[in-house]
Amino acid sequence: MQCPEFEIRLCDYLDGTLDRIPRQEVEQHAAGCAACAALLAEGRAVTAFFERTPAIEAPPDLATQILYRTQAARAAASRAGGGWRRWLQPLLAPRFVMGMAMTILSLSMFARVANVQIRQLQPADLSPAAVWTSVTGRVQQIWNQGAAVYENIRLFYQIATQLREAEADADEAAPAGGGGTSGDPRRIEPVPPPGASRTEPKR
Amino acid sequence: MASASEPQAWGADPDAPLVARCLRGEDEAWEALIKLHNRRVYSLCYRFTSSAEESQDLTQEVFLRVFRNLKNFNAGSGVFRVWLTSLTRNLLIDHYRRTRKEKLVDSIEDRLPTLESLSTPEAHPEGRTAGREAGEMLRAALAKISPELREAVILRDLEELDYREIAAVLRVPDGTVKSRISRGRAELARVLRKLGATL
Repeated sequence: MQCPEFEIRLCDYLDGTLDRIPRQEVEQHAAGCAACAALLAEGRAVTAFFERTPAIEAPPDLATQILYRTQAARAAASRAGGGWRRWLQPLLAPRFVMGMAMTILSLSMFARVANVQIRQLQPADLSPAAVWTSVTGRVQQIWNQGAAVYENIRLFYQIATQLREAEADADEAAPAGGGGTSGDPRRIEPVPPPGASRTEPKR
Repeated sequence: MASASEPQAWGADPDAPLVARCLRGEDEAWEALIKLHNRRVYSLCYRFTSSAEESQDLTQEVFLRVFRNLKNFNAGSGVFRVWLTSLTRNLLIDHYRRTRKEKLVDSIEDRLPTLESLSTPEAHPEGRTAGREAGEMLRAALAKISPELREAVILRDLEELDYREIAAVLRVPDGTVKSRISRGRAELARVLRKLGATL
């Protein structure tokens, strides 16, 4: 056995975990090597000295201090926790979400009015002239549609008014003449088409 | 001789259930883990710093690191006690590097007369116990020996880790651990005798 190997085996020797043969080898080497014999003697002496020294006791409140610090660290982590979530929190507020929804709705309505096809949008479509032409064309179209609807409504009310007038005239004539033309007070006289000469019924 | 880099088969980790509960966020388990290991960490810090105040701060720092990094502890690759000891050792190394200049000034030689006077009975009218004197001398002697021998001796003889655990903490082969322990004990014996200790 060489000295480096002795140094390694010495630990197991002092622990008492070596078998008989390796134990004898250690003892034989120590008997023939003064340096290793000293190593063995000093190892024995120091391990005995360790037994006389008291264990180091931690301060009684150390565990409490550690708990306090780790809880503080946890609280700080939860306050700062989820950095992106903290920044996104205002964006996820219901009021902001509703506002964004209304904005998108308004923009989509504007795009519809302006006849902007989002899917087919080209850079040229975003030029001021193109946007203006599109907007004015669309406004003109809506104006024309509105005007046509207005004309139809006006004609409808004109017809309705004439019908009511004719009905009123018939009601007035009925008591004097003993009845209407047809004898049915609910009968509505046909309205002549616009432009046709209106003839009073013979009484 | 097993190499420290080789994967080692660890037995059942007695702390594994507690660690698992901590990872599930159970406060009671975290408190139990602190109560179970704070003495060991404090003791290790005290052996290296010889300062109660620094040891308290360092122990708290160790557990803060454990708290932040427990999810990184791989239960399959080792036992919690070894992981905790490695973490403590790394922190002590950082601390040593930070405070090296102060340590050089406040060296063992500067304190030697005080330590020698501790060993004489008449120097203690308040009646210190022999065990306490032995503890003081051991602390002084440990500070005197080389760091790599000191940590091997402390982990084995004072923290009672087994050789395989020490090898994992120090990242050296088992044989190197045993060699350092043997040489460290011999060096420690010489210093203790110089300090007047009876061996």
